[in-house]
Amino acid sequence: MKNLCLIILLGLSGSGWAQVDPGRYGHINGSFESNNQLYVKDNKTNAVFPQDRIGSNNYLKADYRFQKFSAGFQYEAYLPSLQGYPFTLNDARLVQKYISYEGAKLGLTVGNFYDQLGSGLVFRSWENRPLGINNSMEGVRINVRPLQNLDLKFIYGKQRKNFEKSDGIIRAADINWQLINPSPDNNEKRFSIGASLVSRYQQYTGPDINFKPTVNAFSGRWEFVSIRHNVSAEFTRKSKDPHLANLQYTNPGSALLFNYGFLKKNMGFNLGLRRLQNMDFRTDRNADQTLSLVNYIPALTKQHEYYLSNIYVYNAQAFGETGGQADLYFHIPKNTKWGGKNGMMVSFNYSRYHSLKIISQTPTSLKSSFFEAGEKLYYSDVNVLIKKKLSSRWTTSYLLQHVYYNKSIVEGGNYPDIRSTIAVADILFKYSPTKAMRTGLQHLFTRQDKGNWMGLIMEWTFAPHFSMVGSDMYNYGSADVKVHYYNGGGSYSSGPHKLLLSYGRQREGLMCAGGVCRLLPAATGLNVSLTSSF
Amino acid sequence: MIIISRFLSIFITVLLFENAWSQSALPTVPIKNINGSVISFSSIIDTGKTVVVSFWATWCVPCIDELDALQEKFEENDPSRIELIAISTDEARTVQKVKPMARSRGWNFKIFLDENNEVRRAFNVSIIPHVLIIHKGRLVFQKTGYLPGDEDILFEKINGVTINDSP
Repeated sequence: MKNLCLIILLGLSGSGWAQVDPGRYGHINGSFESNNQLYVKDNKTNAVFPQDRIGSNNYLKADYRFQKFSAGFQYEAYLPSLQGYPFTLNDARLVQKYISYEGAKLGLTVGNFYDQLGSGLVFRSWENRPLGINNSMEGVRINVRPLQNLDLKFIYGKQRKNFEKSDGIIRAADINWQLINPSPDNNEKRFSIGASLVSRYQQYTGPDINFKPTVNAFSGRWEFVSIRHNVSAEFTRKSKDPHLANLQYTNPGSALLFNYGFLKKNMGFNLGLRRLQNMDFRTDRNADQTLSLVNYIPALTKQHEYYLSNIYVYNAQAFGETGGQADLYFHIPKNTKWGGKNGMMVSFNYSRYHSLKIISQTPTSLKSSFFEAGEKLYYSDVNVLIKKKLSSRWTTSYLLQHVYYNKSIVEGGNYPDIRSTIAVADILFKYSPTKAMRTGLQHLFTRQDKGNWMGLIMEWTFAPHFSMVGSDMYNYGSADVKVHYYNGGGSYSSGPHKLLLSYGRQREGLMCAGGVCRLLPAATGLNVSLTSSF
Repeated sequence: MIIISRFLSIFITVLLFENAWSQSALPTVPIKNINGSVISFSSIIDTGKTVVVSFWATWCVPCIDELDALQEKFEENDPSRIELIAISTDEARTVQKVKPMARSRGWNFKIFLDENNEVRRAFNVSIIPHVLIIHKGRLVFQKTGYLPGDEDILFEKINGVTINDSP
């Protein structure tokens, strides 16, 4: 009670100061997110009923700013955690805090921070709450800008690992130099080069006297941008790093990323190619799954928005893969044969990933050809998405997709490869300036795995506050139990606050990002989510 | 129970102070323009206009629908008074798709890249799409999510904050 009185008193006094001179004493903003689930027993989906019927993940973040200084914290409460998250998270703690100065020539952060060097192939600290990843650094970061076109960065610290800190220490330095176009106003041409060095030290107490406790990773990159073209490349090399997640392989790691883009009126094209070998990099040699990641290796494939397109999703193989993707976007202008009265958007995407071509292999090392792909196909996805506005009231979207999915490689185990074709039709009808109805029909055809699926989604929206949704994904092609994954719910939004309420079934599946996955267990129940920014 | 009360105490404290001090000062974080040059966030909103900032991503369908709708509305309005800028929160996985997608859709507003979500975190944006209205260097309104028709209501807000500036 005493604490509550003190809090109210402090808050009221804060209001008093603000009325005298708003902003004189700085500003506070923040966010609150609460995801809750009430689990119910459901024998149809093989959902494992948890010990506690309620799962609740909560995040509170607040920042205080005063001129060039800022400070903040993040408080997390798992009461207990939702299913699929580590049990070690069942607690509530102040997990992150920082103080920072951001000047024109110098930036300094002490405490927790997130950062990325280059495209993240050697270092990225980031947060992904649905996946349960938060590898924020705790230490010191210094940014120096001695010239307008030169940026230097130095990082020292330890990573967050659930509620604790990871064992290893990270030291990193980065340089970025814009050789053409030091002026940010002139956007016509730009050429930049950059390099990063990341060193990880973790004490070794084993019997091998030749074991090196320090792993070094180097990355060099360049990028050229003009009005129509952009070309970039990044090459990375990592020293010997045998650890649990890479099966104790002793080869040095390497990665090559190349990108080319071309732009024209109403058209854009992009080609990305990447080769990876032994690039799993962690601050803790004994960590696996989503823990203690130093670098970021996402699957370079299309991120689909439809339910059935997200059943067979690729996850980058840091151990070794070679491949790439191409994207073509174009707009067919209105008042043409294909464009009709309102024009038409078309996007085409193709991605394909293979194994490395192995020359020789031992139980803990392998030699591979750098420029040739192996015969084993890991994944391919070819898809075309068409969006056409028929009138001011009717908008339609169509997707056709064919996926090859090597389930044994992506999920582990021994399964037949999966070939699936997905077709989607989505229709939006805006029947008043603020009211609309969306109907989506989806079908997945496959003879492998769990067979065919079909899906239906219906959504009603009433701007600016309410929406209601009902959906069902029916796995009618399954050889054993045919399951309806139904869901129904609604949301209320007001400014930066959103409340979501839903009841239904969640299918078991992998949720992947940055080369790592978390298994989402099957679950049935009531979900309540609240997000708020202030 | 102790955990819950501790959590609630901190939450209430922040909310009380929030009433006093929030919704004004803007963070001084660096951001990349669409060609990759690093600039300060404060420099992109220092245009003398009311700036509408939309956080979006290439994989977020409601975000793209909202930007299409906002572009149409902005074309009907006086460009010397208001400006739309879009901040892509695409990470390394999809950031290379930003330029070709924007060009094909004919978007003529400025686009910025927030690849490691520094700006998004600084504004405490939890979910996208998320729109801010910045007037005279101060954050005066924000909303999360997009429902068809939201663009009309957003423009009522914009007109509300700029009406006092009319000659």
